[in-house]
Amino acid sequence: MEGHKDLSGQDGDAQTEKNEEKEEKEMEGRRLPSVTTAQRKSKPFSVQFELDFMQCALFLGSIFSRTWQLGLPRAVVFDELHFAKFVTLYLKGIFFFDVHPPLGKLLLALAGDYTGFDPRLETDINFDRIGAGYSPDFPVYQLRLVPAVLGSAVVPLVYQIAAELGLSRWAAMIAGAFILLDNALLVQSRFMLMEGMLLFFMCLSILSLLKFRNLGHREFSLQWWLWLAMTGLSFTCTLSIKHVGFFTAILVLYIVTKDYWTMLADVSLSDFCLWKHFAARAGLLVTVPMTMYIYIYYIHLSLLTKAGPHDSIMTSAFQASLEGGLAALTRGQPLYVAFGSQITLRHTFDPVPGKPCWLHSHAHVYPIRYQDGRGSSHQQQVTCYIFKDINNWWIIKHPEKDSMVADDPPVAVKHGDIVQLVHGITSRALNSHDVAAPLTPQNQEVTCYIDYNVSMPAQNLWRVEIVNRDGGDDKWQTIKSHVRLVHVNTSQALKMTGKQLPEWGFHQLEVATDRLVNQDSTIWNVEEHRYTRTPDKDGQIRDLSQAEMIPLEPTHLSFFDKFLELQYRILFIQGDTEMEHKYSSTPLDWPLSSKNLAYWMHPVTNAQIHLLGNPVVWIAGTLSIIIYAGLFFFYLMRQKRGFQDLPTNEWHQFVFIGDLLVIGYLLHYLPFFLTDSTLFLHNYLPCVIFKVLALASVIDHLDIILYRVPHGSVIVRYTILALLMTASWTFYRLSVFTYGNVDLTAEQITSLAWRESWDFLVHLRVGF
Amino acid sequence: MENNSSEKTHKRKNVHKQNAETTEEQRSPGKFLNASERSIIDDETSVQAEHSKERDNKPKDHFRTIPALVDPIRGNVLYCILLFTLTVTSLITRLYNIENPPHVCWDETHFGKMGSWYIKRTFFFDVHPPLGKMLIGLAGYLTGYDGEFPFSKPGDEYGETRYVGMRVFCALLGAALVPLAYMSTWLLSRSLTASLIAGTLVLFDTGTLTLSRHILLDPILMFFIMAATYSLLKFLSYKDRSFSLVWWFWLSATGVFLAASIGVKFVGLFVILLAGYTTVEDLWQLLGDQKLTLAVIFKHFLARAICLIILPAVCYLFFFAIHFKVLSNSGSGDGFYSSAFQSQLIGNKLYNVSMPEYIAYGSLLTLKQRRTGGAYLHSHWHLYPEEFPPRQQQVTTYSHKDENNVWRMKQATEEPDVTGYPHLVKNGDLIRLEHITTKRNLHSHHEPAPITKRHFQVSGYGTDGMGDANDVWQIEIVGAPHGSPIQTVRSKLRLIHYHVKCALFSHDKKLPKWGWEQLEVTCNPNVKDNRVFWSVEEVIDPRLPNVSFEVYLPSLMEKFVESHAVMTQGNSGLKPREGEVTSRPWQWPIDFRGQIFSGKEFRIYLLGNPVIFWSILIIFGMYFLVIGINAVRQQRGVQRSQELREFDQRMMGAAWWFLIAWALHYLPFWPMTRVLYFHHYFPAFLYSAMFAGVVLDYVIIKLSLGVPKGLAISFYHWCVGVIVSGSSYSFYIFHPMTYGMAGPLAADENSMMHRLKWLDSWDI
Repeated sequence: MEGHKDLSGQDGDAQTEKNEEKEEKEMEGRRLPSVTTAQRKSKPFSVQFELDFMQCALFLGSIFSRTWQLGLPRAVVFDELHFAKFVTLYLKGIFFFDVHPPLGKLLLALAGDYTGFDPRLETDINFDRIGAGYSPDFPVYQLRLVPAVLGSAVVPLVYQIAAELGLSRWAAMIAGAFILLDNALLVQSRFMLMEGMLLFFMCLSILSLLKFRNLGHREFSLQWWLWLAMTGLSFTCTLSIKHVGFFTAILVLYIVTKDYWTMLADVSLSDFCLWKHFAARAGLLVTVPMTMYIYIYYIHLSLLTKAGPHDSIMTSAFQASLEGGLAALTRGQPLYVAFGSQITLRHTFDPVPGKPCWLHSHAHVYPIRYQDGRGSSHQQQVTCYIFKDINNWWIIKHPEKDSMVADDPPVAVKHGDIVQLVHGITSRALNSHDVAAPLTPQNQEVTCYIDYNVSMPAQNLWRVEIVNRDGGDDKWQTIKSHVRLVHVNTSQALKMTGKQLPEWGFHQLEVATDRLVNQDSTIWNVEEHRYTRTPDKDGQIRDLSQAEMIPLEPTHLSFFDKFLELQYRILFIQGDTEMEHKYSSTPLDWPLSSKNLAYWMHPVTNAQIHLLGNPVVWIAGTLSIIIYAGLFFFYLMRQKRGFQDLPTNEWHQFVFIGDLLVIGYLLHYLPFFLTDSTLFLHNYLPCVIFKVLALASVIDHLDIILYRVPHGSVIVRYTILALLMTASWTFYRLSVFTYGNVDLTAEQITSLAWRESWDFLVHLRVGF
Repeated sequence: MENNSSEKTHKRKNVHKQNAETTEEQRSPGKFLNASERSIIDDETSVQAEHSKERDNKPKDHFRTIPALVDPIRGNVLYCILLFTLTVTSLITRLYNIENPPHVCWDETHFGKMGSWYIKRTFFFDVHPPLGKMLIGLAGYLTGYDGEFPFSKPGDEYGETRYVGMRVFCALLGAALVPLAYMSTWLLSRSLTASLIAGTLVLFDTGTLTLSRHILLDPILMFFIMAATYSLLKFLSYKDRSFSLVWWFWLSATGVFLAASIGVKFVGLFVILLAGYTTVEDLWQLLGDQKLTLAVIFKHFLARAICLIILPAVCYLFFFAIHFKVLSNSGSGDGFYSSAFQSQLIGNKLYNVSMPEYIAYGSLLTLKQRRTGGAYLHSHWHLYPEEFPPRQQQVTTYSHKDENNVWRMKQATEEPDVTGYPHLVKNGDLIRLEHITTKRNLHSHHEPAPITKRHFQVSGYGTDGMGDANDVWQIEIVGAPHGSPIQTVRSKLRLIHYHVKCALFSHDKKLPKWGWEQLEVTCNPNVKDNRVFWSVEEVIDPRLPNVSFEVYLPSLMEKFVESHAVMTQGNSGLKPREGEVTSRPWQWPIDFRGQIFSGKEFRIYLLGNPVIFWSILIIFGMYFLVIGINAVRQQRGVQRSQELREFDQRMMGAAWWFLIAWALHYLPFWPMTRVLYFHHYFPAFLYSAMFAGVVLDYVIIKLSLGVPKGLAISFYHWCVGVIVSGSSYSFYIFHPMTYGMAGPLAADENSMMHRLKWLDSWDI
């Protein structure tokens, strides 16, 4: 850790030079080839090494607190349930689906790979529940070390940010110390969780941004470029760990845009110069991050090449590009669907991710009357079934030919062709007619036609509409083609309504036709496919029951197709938003640390780990945001009435702090009010960084304005000291829930539940 | 329009004389026109140039000026002529053929029905506040409608029913939108062209027209929103005559219209936000005025607080007071409300009953869950099935009144003496509840509940009232001191199982057939859940003195609060009806899909005039381009003439205000999860039309500065002419969507809408 602060003494001349150059920049020390040529001559190859003891002390403290007893408990803690599993999946190369972007998990997997851990040798890895023990070979310590080390670096980074903001040493120290003493940040960095890394990159991007801004007077110098690039790269890392990083990116772009806007007003700059500045920023803050973001997904997808348990969330085309799984089944299927093809039809866009279903029929009929008194056609049921089944096979038949055998060479079905679909096992044709569907009366019933001789003729012609045909090729392709089956007589499209049939339909999903053709739920695609070769019925059934594939052309999906599909799934498809969790919280519970989140509990004793913010830190931080807002409006109103309370540069500094810290806080906080998904306390942690920094700035500001008041600065100093001491005390008291290393009695736990809303666990030692 | 422009500016007027006119006249429309164009008129050139093209252009200062449209006197007259024309056209379009179709269209089935209920004074429940429906009811009442038509479903023939009055009432309010848009645009932009375009766009939009012609809340809502907007702008235009009578008048008018907007639908909240934003901004400007003392500023603040906060609140409450007063008979909405509420409705079972105020051990009682749609605690002779052991007696909640809902209150340890001295049940007591019919006690234990596995099973246990220790519950009154007696109806109770420490809980999940599809009752380990509250509904105990139920009669405030809780719950729970096409906000500005109003032979389709909607989209693009360029130019220090700068400020300021208004009425729909419909967009559309008027005027003027001087004015007028005639022509071709389409669908070649189905998603 080379801090570069204490400039005093050793480089006096350079310092004075700079002071003259830019007064307010007194903080921005750096090892630099100094400012004047004279200086350079006098010290040709000198290396300055400056050490900030405060920063070192904070860093050592944080390293110690975050790595102490890191391997314990040797059990799955909270979301390690997911992340530890993802690491093993990475190491095995098995595809998985997660709503967060991959960088954080990649870093963990990298550490896992480095330890030489090979999950393929393990037989009994199970991460099925929180609290389950890890197998002896699992590198728990090494994996937890990554977030722990990066999480520890947050403390000196925050200190450095405060210094770079031009705050006094005291204020910077309190910022660093509060981060160090916050139990929530500590807990979150100690396990295989994303936030330790997320916060590291977030702080790094803010620090780089400040460095870059403070180098404004040395534009296009090497450092200027470096810090600019660093800003872009680090916020990309942030948003590649969790999507909340987008807000960090927005904050950075907001500050940069605002600076650029002020630059526009500077008439001494030529248009060309402004364009140059614009290009530099656009290149390094937009283009490079986008490339990097895509590249991270490229790594992700090129590591995960094998099929696994999460495949079914993705489309068939995606699954077919993975090794094993569906790919093993489908590889080598004939590409073009032809008259005489045997196919399974999958509903392409699952209403519930991970619950695909296939068009299905079986030898049961619709009940004559439904419970609500409506009648049905009493013909054979057609449903959508969520399991693979022999009854999912259909044969495509040419309406004018009797044979269902594929010609040689097979005649491919094209967009707009009319076909009949014959159910493989029962040999009845897919049919629809003007009878209300069982659960969705405004849609038409779909059946497999049985002729009861009741003047209800078969209406079993369907027109194939291929939705995603591009260019000239309008043949129906296996897997790739998204197909609508439009009923010829009524122009309605075959649709999966998503409703579950009652008992008579074996709780399978309802299939109907809908007048509204243009919707996602009417899209189907062929998943398994082969040509019918035997004309006789028994032979066909035998074929259906043995899945023997003819090797032809393999499927291939380009990286960008995969990338876009994965992005779409991650960003737009929310899982089960209704999921309740005992410890889920709402954004209003966060600012005052009124909720905790249980992470782990010892199976026998009352030792337990909770995510719980240090109330002193959190409340003081929230207060500082309020105080800032109050002061800001006070100054604004005074200005409006014509009083200038602050000198111009101090006012600018004050506004900038608001722009960076308060806007940053709100940007990372307010959007949570708009989301529907289940929220947890750890969503709030980025805000904690901002509010602690805001606290330091407000203290610094108060220090300045109370300078005139008698004993003003003394009061501020004592307040700082008092805050630090209470924060340390609460940290110490609550640390039993942080390290989870102490067995507590029920009384001790009750005495620590300072707020009624905190919910700790107690083992009932007396059973019933 | 063309006419006016050609005959204009023959007379010239002395500007100085104009300036000397009285303040009142200065505010008249004509004056402002020339304020912007004064320099041109002074300058003579531009005016002369149009008429005498042969004359050479005099060299002018290097900034070009804005062409004059009309001279001041004419301006005033022209303003009135345009206003009159727009109003008359609006009335004609809106009232034309209003009795068709003679059957119930779309949501008329709801609002017509509710109007009838007001006439018949029966209580009902709806998610919207009452004002709109009361006005519909009033209109119906005044025009002789008797409230007998059932309005049961869209498509029902009206027959002899006198429904036209209600339609005409809505159409009149809808017709007022055009002049209001015109006048509001004038107040902000002071440009007749901008106002004319705004009025025209509203006039010729088929969607606004369709919405205005039926018995719906939307025309009423839009009228109040626009009226509030107009009064607000009018109020702001009296800036230099603070605290005068007109100033007070328009300020309080704003307040009243704001209350009326939100009194029709909660969407009215957005216009309140708009008024709030504008007022804060206005006060901020006043604060910057160094000539005003703080006391005066405070007085300004107070005046606005009274007229824009207190006055609307009082009005809003007043609407509800009328609502409750009018609806005095029991009706379909009773079940949504609490028993105390129901006891006020004539014809309800609870009307005028009396029962004990407190509960004693040995009393018989029913327990009702305290939430909307909460039901009675219930049990019956059936057991939980094998799959959900142990096989004890089912306990459920059931919303109908039934003898199986009755329980007896008992002490934890002894059987009560039902004849002796009645000991009252107090907060914190340990109790047991015995089911009267089956003589089993309310029981719970560490076994998973049948559906919600995280909770514990609640059952009936024991024989003849004798059970075990798991029958004991602690009864708590939320927010009352320990030991205070439990009151019927009023007390908010929580029943905590003594051993398991879980709370008696019920929710909307239905048990399957074996449980008769009644609602599941469980014991919830999270005692802080908000669905664990119960209240005692009926008490039977001859030992206790009866009190009239009137002691529970809620005050107006309580009823007001309760009905809002019910409405909020109803609103968030709005699910699309079976098979209904719903829409998302992104579809609205692009006119993606409309709404079928009448699907029979006489088809009516709610769809914005696509020409207007899509032009407005382009205008949004233009606006952002223009302000982008302007801002960069200003930031780079490019100089403009004083006159041009004022012009820019005024027009861009007006456009900005309308943009904010549009955004406030549109963007809040994005995060909403409830079911949304296309018609929610129309208040926002009105603002976008005014916005478009201002921006178009600005862009045309800017463009005409670029054409050769002699042609500038004709160019300008040609542009305005094209816009007005273009929108009226587009209205002409799309008018069947409003006035009714007959014959085959658009896909058919013989259809009157053939070739007009520009988007596949339109159902025409």
